[in-house]
Amino acid sequence: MSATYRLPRRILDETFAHFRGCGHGRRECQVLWVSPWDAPEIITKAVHPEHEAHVGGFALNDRWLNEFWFTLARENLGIRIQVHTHPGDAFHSPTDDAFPIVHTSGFLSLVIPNFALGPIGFDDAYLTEIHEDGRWAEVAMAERLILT
Amino acid sequence: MNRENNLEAAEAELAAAEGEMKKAARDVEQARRDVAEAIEEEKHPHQFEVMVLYNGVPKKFEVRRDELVRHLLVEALQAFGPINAPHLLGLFNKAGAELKDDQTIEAAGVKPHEELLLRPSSVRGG
Repeated sequence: MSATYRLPRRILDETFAHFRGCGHGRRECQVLWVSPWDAPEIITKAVHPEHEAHVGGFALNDRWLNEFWFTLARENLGIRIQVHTHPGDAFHSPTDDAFPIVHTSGFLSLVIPNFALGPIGFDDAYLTEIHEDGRWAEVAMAERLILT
Repeated sequence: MNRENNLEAAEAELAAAEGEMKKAARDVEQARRDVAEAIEEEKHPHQFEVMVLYNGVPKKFEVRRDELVRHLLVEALQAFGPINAPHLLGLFNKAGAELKDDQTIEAAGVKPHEELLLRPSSVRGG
């Protein structure tokens, strides 16, 4: 499934605020964009997971992840795009490839460069999609994300 | 002569009644066993339903107490798939414990109608 998602501007603003407030320009950070299963194409929430992070990586808290999995089902939500920062250039590292939160084909991963300290938007960002065979391939931002 | 006939008839009736009593006792014993089995099945059913959640989607699965967790894991991966890198996902209970693939459903402590999570063991980036 290759969905195109509509992302409200306020969610992008919240996402950058999380990255800057949590990472302080010194640590990576992650946000998850979710939407209801009955209208998956419209992103409705930015979720900031509990995690540990350092300048070159992050790992989600396992207890938080367990609780979040129940929350998703209770609220009929699904994770559509995982978003995280890099200290420098945006790309998908081998760790990013191997340990995403969702492994089903069509899932998107967005990487924001420079700890999200640049202009709020997708300048120099990197968007990639997982395929049925497990490989990730870059996709054009405009084809999969529409800012509303 | 008449008295002797009556006595014989009475003895025959007695023997028949004793036979019926023995059969009734066996039936009662069998019924007790059936009830005990039904109670055991009610308390610990051999086959029952569990719910598996993946990325916000719930799906029901039938499991047997004596089957391996691996069997349910494979079924769930297929039902929610295609899922890449299945070795990176596992089944977790509400307490956050990952169920061991080589344990039986019973040994893993899975209860009827329990909600289990199909999720990655680790989520990382770098």
